Amino acid sequence: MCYETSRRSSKLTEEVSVKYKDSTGFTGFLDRLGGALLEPRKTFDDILTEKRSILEPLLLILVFFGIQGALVGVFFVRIISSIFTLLSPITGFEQFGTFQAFSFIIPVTTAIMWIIGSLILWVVSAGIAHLCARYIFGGMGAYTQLLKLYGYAIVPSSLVILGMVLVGLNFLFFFSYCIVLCLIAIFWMVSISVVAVERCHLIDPGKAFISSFIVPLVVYMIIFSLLTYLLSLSLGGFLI
Amino acid sequence: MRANTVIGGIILAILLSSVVYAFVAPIISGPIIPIYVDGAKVRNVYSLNATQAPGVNYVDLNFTIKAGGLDINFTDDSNLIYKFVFEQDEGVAAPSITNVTVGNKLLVNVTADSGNVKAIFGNNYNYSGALRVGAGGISAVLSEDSNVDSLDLVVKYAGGLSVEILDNASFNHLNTRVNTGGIILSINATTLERNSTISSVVEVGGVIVDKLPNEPSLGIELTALVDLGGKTLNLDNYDIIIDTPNECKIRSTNYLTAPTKLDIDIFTGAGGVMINQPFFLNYPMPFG
Repeated sequence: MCYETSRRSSKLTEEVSVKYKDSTGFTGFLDRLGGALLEPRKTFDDILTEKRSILEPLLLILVFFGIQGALVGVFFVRIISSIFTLLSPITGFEQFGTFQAFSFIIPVTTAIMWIIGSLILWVVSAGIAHLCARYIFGGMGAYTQLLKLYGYAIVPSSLVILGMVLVGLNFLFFFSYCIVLCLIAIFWMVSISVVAVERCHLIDPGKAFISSFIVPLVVYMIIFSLLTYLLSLSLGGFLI
Repeated sequence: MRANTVIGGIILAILLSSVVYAFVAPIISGPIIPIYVDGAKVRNVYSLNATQAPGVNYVDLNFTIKAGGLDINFTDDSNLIYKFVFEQDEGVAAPSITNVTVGNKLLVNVTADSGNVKAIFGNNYNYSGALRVGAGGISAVLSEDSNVDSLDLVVKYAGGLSVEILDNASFNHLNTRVNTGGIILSINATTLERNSTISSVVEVGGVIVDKLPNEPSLGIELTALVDLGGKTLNLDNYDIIIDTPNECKIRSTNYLTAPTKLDIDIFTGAGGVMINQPFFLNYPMPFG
């Protein structure tokens, strides 16, 4: 382990010729957010060298996915509101907004669900990528380091948040823009995850791509298929 | 300032604005897709009175609307020949109305694509003809001001038809027909101006005859046939002439001696007939 760490440090020193001074405080935080998008390779090297705690990426996960979950909840509220408005001639209820409590309970519930789901995905995805990179491709990074970098890899999902807000403002006008923003965000997150595995484990980009995208995708597909199969068995083979 | 910091600031701004939106949107935003429950309507009134068509005694109606609702009423205005109040969505073509006078008969031809129509007729003319709705509903109230020879009320494709007969209504024959849907007949009259007949045909669906009066001044005979389906009959002091699972004929107790008579003939292709029942049945009560 000691040998691996020193080998890693020497390799990093070779590769990172120019190194900025440690970013601290609020400006440093903004710098890391932007850097994860624009210069993920250098930003991740800095994060690994500075040995930052896992709290910041954890906070990013909580904030980004909490907001996304809340926005999904707001969508639900407004869809239910649409249904209420449509049925108002029959039911007599003019607006779903009459039930103010539900207007907040639903977004809070979806935000909590989104956070729990994203935390599970974060830990599992980083775990799969780590196992693959370390034991199949001979990487030399640690799981906690990759977990940290994966936390920063979700920064492009700010585009998804932007798209959801725009759609909320004008569904028909911004829907296509939202789809494009989501696709860009997915592509960007995959790219940053590849860089994260590459810099953490110091392996080739191709191997990093397989570790961070292909293998987790295959694992999730297998899990999904198994769950579908089990569900279909419980439903008497209805889904097969 | 480095580009990374600027981008980081923009991301933070997006996050903050989305948090504000998430808090505010449930309160101030409406439905995600605008739904216009009661959109803007265009209202047009077409009417004809005695001074515009002198010498007319009979009015032959040929009214067709493809989709919508038709509400028929009679008024005590003796000068009024007809008044059609159309309420249509913006952009829908205006109805076509033509009046042709042949001797003492006025031929009124009305066609429209869609909308809700209130048709009001006077009490000084004799009306006949047909009023048709492609898909939608027809509601007709024949009051003491009505003076109808033979009138067809038709829902060509699907929908509902409701007819209410009030005291001293005057009509010879009323023909009601619905392809798919239902007919509700309400006889709320103790007497009529003359002997009358009502024919109701529903191809697929049902006919409901509301509680029938049993008065000495009005004799009622009702015949119902269901080709595929069944009937529900409440005699309620009516005499039964025929009673099979899918056919019945009943008469009010004083039918033969009543000064005016109303004969109702009902046919349902596939469906059911409910006779002499209030429209909303009581919830079944447990025994004991």
